Amino acid sequence: MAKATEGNVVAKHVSLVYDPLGVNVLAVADCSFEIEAGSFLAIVGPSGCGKTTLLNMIAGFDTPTEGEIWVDGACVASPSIRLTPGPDRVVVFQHGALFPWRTVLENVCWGPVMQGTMSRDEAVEKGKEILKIAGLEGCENEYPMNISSGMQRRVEIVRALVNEPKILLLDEPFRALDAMTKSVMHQYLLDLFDATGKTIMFITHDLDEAIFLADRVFVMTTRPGRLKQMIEVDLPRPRNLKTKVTDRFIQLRNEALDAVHEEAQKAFERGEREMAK
Amino acid sequence: MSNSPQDQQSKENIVTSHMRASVKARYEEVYLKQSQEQKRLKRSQVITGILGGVAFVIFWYICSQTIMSKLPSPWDTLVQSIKTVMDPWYYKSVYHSLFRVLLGFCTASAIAIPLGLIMGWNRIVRDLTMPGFELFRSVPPVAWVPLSIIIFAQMEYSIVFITFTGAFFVVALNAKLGAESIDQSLFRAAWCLGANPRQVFRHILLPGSLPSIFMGLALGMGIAWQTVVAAEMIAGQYGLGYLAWESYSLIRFPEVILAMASIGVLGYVCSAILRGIANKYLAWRKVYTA
Repeated sequence: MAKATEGNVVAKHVSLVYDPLGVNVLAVADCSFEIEAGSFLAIVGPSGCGKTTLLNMIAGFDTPTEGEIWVDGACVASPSIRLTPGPDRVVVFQHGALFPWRTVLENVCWGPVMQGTMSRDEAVEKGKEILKIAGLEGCENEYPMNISSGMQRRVEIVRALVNEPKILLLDEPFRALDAMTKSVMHQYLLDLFDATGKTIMFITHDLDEAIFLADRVFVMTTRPGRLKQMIEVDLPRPRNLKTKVTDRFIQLRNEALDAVHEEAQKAFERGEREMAK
Repeated sequence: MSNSPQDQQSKENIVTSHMRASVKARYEEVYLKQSQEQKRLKRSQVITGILGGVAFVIFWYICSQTIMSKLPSPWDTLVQSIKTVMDPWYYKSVYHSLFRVLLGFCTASAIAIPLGLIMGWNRIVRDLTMPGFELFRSVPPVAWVPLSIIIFAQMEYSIVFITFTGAFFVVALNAKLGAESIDQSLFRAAWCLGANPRQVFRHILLPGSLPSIFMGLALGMGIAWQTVVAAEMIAGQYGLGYLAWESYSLIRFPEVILAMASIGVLGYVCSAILRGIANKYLAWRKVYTA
């Protein structure tokens, strides 16, 4: 397993206030954490707790109100710098963001061609090769709407990896998939992580998924999102479906369950109060 | 050694291939029935359409003989139309109307599409232009006729300009709507993959807005024909609108109907060409189920 030497992310006291409809809302409050190069971090928390906001700040879509985020010694987000999202931090989006007017192969080649790092022919060749490795041979010339949602997610992950990003940011990528496709995708992602050793940040609201995939799980509180608990997952790799029934997995899950449930309960109750207003 | 794995395999293969063949034959039968049924439906649709057309002509004939005595009968219209269509002067009318529509429509689209896209993309441009757009698009195109005659010394230019205004607003506003309807994560994905603003415009904004742009173009084409005819009736020389009005003045009523029918046919052909282009560029929206 080749561990990457790049993709070290450090967040220092990051907070973000946003202002929908003139009401200031503290979305993320004073989060500090580190993702070591080549490790897999999962972030778990109830809906609306600021997980996606945190990811957007690392990707360079949102400016933090306070604090800084550094990737490999370079500041990528702070209140004073201009944001530059780019191919070193590629996001795989919650609802999928393949370009529907481009075929699967064209989608995969898109990044290198736009950046000008490869000629069209080179990119097509490399794209074909990678699609073959990813088991997506035969659907290169299909439009995304005509392949299954599980395949779409794979294509999107491949499209991200072609750019050789330092860190892969996954924003609840398997949310819309059915349980069976999801478990196939978990295995796929694990194999991919073992093979490439890329730094991965994975956002989810599913605790089982987080523990199964990650090296460390970061449990967030309900809004404003803070760090509630950090779980070190010492399950051996490579992992497979059997890992989910080992004693250690169940033990880790039970340790975190109360914390996650408590926050979910809080978010639920607050949601009810907000509705009653 | 009859139970070797290879034997087992080949036995299974025989069984499954046999099953597949019978299933396939069964399905082919069903497909055949289905396609015959569809052909029958199509045929009955065509026959019903022809019946409707015949009924309309009969209705027209009865009207022309009874309550609408000034209305030329279908037969008179046909005879006179054939005479007129042989006359080169008629094609001058067709050419002028078509030229005015296409020139006005194409210039309008060439300016309105990029403008609309930028309006949908950039908040400053949108805030700058929207008040003017809201005001001007409520002005019916025909209301531009006097002003455009004042602005342009030549009648020809003023008619083209009126056609232009007719198409311009609806094309621009639909392009803007299309740009606004694009999923924000597609833009973010493009930034992530290292695209620059020019590339985002060309590869995300333009194709993403295309369905809405074509909708605007179809509407704009319709309005362009409406306005050109109105303008020609008021201020034109040559052109099908002029032909209709002139024929009325000269009491050549069959030609009034011919002019109307010509406008209808040309408008239909223009829309059909546009639809053909749209289908080609929007192939990615076609979802086929296995």
